[in-house]
Amino acid sequence: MNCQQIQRLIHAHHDRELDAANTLQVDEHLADCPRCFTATRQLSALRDVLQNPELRYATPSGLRRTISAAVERSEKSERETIFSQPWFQRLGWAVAAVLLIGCFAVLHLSTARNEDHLLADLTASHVRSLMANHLTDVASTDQHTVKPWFDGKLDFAPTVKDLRESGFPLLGGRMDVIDGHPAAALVYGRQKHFLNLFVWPASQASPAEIRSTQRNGYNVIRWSDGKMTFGVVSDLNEAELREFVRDWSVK
Amino acid sequence: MPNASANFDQTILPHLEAAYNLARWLIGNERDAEDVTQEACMRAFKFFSGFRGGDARAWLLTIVRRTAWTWLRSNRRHEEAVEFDEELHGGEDHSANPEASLMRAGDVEVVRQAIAALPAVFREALVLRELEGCSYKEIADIAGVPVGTVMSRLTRARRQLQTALSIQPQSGGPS
Repeated sequence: MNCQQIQRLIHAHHDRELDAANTLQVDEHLADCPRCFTATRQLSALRDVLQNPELRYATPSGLRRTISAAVERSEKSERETIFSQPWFQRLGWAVAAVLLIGCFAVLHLSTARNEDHLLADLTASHVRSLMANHLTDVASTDQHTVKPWFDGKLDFAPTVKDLRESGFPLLGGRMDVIDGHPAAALVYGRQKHFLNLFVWPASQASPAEIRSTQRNGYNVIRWSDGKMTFGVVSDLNEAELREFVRDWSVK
Repeated sequence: MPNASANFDQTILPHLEAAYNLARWLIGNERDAEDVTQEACMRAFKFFSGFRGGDARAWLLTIVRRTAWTWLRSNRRHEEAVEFDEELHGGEDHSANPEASLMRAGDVEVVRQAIAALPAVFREALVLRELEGCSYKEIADIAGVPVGTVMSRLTRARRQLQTALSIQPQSGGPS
């Protein structure tokens, strides 16, 4: 290497940034060349001057604190703005709406399932009472015989009405279980049809309005007077069954 | 992101002195250098979540340098405001005046003036190397130039300083 090439490398050499091979070559050259050696001495002299720590500008006191505070503020406002961002609020409303709809859907489904379950129960009880030839535990057309019969068998006293005048003679009464609750079953006749009127204490979920449904060919009407829940099941047509309900409620 | 600011305090702010020093040397006055440093730190905080560890000082200095150059460009009262043309400034001896020989290298103010007189790209390379002790590679990353460019900028910066501070290279050198 000649002096010109070495002069180009002595800065990197001086900064210890040269690779081993080049470092060796420069070292060898410097040992033989007083002029280039002087140049490195001058670089060292300059470095000595620049090594003076006073050359660095001291950070103004308070700058660190100012920045720390600004950073903290920005973090806080960032956290706040995310909640006040229009998109975030819109997202919030959307999530709330979805949750609300979800709640209603679940509620509706569970009510519907309860309802379904109840209808099945009522119909099944009605069918069983006819099949097993076990229509009545107490066979009497006298409401004053039927009503006391329930005393001590149920934890409530069902109202017993005779609707003979409306064409629905009372035939008797029976113990039954509806929806897991003991219930009074009052049996009425209509020509050759039988009607089972189930009576049990109302729970909060009982609908006050009349609901009429058909299940497996049987008509079912449910209603509640606030204290008791009623469900009447029969193979009578819906119009006549409604007539029964109306007469029962009026009397 | 709980405690992002505390984490930032511990990771980044220890390098605040290096950041301010670089900003101060590039900007040229205390007040604007403070503003630039603060702005750079806020920018660093904004992108802190994207910082994947590594050399926090080099990362902060990169942001400081970019912020400082943006500031210089939008405040065009400095000659450095124009992107430096190395061919134009290459090898120029800014301090070839009679006073130069009167400068005493031991005087901190004199040395500071000599450094301040360097073109900004020479100055930033020199400050990063001599005052902050960065490697060529680090300087190359911070300034976004190849290592070879760092080498030539440092060489020119030192020659100018030697002239200004009357640490004359022996005549007969290629310069």
